[in-house]
Amino acid sequence: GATWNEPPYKFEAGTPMIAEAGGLGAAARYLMDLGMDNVRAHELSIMPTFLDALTNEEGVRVLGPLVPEQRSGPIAFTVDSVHPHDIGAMLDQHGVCVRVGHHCAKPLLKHLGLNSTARASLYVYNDVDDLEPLLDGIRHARDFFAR
Amino acid sequence: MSLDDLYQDIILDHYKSPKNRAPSLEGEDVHVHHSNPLCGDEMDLRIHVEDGTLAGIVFDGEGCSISQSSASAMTEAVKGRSLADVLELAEDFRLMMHGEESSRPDDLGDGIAFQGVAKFPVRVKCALLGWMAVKDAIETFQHGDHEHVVTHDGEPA
Repeated sequence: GATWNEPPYKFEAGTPMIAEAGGLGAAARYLMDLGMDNVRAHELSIMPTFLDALTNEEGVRVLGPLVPEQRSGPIAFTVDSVHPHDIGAMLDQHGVCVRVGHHCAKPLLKHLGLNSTARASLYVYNDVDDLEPLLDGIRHARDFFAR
Repeated sequence: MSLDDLYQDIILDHYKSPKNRAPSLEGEDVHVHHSNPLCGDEMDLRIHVEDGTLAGIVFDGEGCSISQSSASAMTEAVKGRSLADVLELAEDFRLMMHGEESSRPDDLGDGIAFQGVAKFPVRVKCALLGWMAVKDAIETFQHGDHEHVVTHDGEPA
């Protein structure tokens, strides 16, 4: 049986993702201009620094393999006793944007015994200078909620 | 207003030592389960009604500090009130989350500490979760039902 949302949501018709499709095309062109090998090489050049720092940070659990070659840019993590949404809010104040939630992977998170994580995504815009504010924000959140 | 101001001591106290947090309630009349896919919050709320009064209320679940502390403060503010009064108070809180001045600050109790959440739009849903759950629990009771499950709309998280 279907379940209906409450009005007005149940009356909203779907709209084709026209702008998103256009944006996807532009993003693909941009990445092809950079060269995907270059994108991957850049990710791999900075990822070990982030993985090392995060795995050595007190209370931080990094999800997924710790071998850079087995990962792509995003690093999902949790911080003991701090809800990811609170981590995200704190990191905001440190100028660091992370995504929080289940990242459209609810069954996987359930399997991992979690209901959400924070996720820092390393990309062509990032370099190792971004590590410091990330760690500062995580420490701020950890200390703040432990007080 | 900074984030540290948002997370006032009142809010942190409720987060660390929640009131009326329990997995079951004696004399339970209604159990509602509310979840918010935006952040993965899950909340179970149980109420017991006596002569049109909210005689018992407990919540349980998992979520961020704002959602859990707001639910805790909510349970204290609504316990012992008539069902109609709780619905009015819930509406007062909802309007406060949309930037309006509360007309019943004393009745909201510690709930008034969440006034600043209105300035952080992405957290408004967190603060509202418990209040929406109690409103739903009362309406479910008034319909003569005992269970209701609600998923709140949000961006895919």
